[in-house]
Amino acid sequence: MWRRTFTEAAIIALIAALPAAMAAVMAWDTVGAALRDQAVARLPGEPNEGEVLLTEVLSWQPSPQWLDARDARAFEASHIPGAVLLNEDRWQVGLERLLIVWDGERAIVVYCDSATCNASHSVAKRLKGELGIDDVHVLHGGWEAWQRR
Amino acid sequence: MTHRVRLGLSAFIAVWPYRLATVVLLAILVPAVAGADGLHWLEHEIVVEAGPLDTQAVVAFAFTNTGDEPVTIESIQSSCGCTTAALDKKTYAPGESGSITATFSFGDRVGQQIKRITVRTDDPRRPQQVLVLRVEIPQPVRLEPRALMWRGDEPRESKTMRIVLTDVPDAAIADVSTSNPRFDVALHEVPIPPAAETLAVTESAGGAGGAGVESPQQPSAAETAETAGVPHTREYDLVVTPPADHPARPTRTELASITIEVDFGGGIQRTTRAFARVVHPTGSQASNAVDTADPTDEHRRQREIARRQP
Repeated sequence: MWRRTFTEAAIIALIAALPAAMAAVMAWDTVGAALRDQAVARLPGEPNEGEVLLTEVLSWQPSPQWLDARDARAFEASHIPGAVLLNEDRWQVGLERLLIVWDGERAIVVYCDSATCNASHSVAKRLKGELGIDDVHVLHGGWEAWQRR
Repeated sequence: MTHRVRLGLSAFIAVWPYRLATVVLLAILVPAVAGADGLHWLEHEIVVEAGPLDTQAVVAFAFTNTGDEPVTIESIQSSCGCTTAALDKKTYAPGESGSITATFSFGDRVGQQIKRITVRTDDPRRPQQVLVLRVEIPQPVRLEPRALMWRGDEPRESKTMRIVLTDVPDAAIADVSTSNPRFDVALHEVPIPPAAETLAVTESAGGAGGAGVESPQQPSAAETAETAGVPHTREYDLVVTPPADHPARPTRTELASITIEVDFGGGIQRTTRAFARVVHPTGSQASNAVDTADPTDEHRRQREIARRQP
């Protein structure tokens, strides 16, 4: 009795899996886009490559130069004290702001909204390329981490 | 007893094909019917290769309501403030088509950009769908590097940045000027092999603080490159010499904003900015102020920020 039940259940599951797989392929455009974007997005848990934890940054001497990679509206609403607004909406204007304030010696830490935003990574990468500097980091968790401190 | 068992087995054998057929039919029909409902998008992802002088990309994500019930789009949210999405109306009847027009303003972005648009509807089976816009933005003017910097203990020797023009055949630098006349700038066109000609431009920033561009007497590097079958490209070296002495006003940092005006032909001109900065040795000057020789309200505000920094 049990043997027959298991056999029938296995056959039904196998048969149902075929059209389910077909439906998944047909819906790939929808699901795939979301999954691929999730893959691009940063993992919220552990620091990713190039990221530093807030607790670590707060212990640095001298303190770093903060860069806010969010949009201007978010920056104006609130930001880390001493931070300079530098995003790719107005890159050259922001870069000039940085060069006025930054002494060239302190490390630079970039942040955006949260652990899943990419703006801070884009800004950090571009900054390294355009200024030829290495001491540029991304704050893990971004502005959310600062607010939770 | 044996008879009952034989009967049961016969009944199972007799019923099994029908049971199998029912399962197969349900397994095929249920996902098919479920998948047919709601908004069906022509494309969930659109890839755009922007032109070198484009400032924005406008695309339309088309859809059709393939279900039996009206669908209302409750919200559209973009992953970036640089991207807006517009909709003709919110509710779509069965069989009705529509589109979401997404406009991505490039700003100063370059390279590959990915912008997501999240569409939320009242369709319980697909309440949320993600549309993706991928745009490759060319960089017709590239500065390597964009800023030249001299630290306090560094000799005040000239440094060079390479300016590379690509993608636009007739592009050429029309003018270079600096906001701070204490920095000397000189522009030289770099010959592209096999041509060996130099577009000479030198000028020390005496009073006006700029460097003009002389017309070449020989075929340009770009013309030679075109003949050789390589992409149209011009390259320049911008040589910047910082001030050797301290400015009259006590200052810690001197900054020059160098405006590079590029003529792309057809009356189209764009400017890009490079920077040169000197940090004077600590102790030699009392102030931590920045001298840009072009004070603006923004500069004054940033100086105030600098003073307040620990």
